[in-house]
Amino acid sequence: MDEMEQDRRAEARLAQRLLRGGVGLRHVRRTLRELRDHREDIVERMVNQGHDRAAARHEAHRLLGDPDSLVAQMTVRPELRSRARRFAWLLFVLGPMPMVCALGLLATLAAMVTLEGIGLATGDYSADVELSTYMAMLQWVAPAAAGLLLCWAAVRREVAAIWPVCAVVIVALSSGAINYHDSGSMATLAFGLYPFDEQRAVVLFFVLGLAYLLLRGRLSRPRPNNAL
Amino acid sequence: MAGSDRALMAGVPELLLLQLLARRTMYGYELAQQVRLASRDTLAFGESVLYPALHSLEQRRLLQTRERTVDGRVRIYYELTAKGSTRLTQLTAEWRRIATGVEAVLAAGPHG
Repeated sequence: MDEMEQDRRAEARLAQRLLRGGVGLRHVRRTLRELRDHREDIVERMVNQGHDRAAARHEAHRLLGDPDSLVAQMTVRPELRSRARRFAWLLFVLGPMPMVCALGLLATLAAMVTLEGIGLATGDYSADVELSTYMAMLQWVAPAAAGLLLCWAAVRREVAAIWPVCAVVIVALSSGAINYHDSGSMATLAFGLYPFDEQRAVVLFFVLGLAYLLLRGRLSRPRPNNAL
Repeated sequence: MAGSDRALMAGVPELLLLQLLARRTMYGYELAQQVRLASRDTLAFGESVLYPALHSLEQRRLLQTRERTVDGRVRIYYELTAKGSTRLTQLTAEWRRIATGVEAVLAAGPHG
């Protein structure tokens, strides 16, 4: 493995340690860039002083030393933490329900436009095709999309597993609470625990939980810093 | 800062970085060199002290950054803000007060 590749791997490991420690992505990216520049400056100075480039690179690595101290200094400062870390409760506890509502609205509007476009819209929202499409958007697509987004954010920002688990539980409960009630004379959309679809909530909980584990396995591997 | 007591030196990087940046804008490596030169080799900031301190000062709006291309390389320059200038005045006064007090105690000797 050449030195460039070794540097890239070392940077990827450092980035992962900083992210896991809760340091904001902006600070992680810039720190890596500044360290790279710092190393290049040391090499340049030594080469100008008459050293061989390989020896200069070796010396620059020695001078910059081991990253433990840098990680400790960065993770100890609350002002450098990512918003996802500082306001995790806001995103993963208060965020899911508004997200499900907003995505539900968007998904339903998209379904309306699509049905209109392919000539399946009748204007009667209680018609079978339309009703089942809109309900699928509200009960499945929107909660699943919200859950996936939150799981992705949790993995990307390396937050503690408790937060995405909270988010997945809330999303699954929200999904189970969205129901359609037809009294014969009037059809209503209900949001509440009575009636509550336990099966849907359980299925979404497991699907999103599995998605979180898969994302964690895939995205939390050390990445080259240009993929950050 | 090699060879110095960490507790004693807490707050020193902030004061020195603000002071050096009050003279002119600089990038990371340049600052590290200036700390060494200006302190006549008494102090040296490793990257593990320098960059976290700079990022923290920027996050607290005491410094701001600007990218500049110099000799074909894009560098991140740090510069003092008005808030940073006020903070430097406070820290300098505080440092002088403490240094005077400590010096008075040390000057009195062990039996003073």
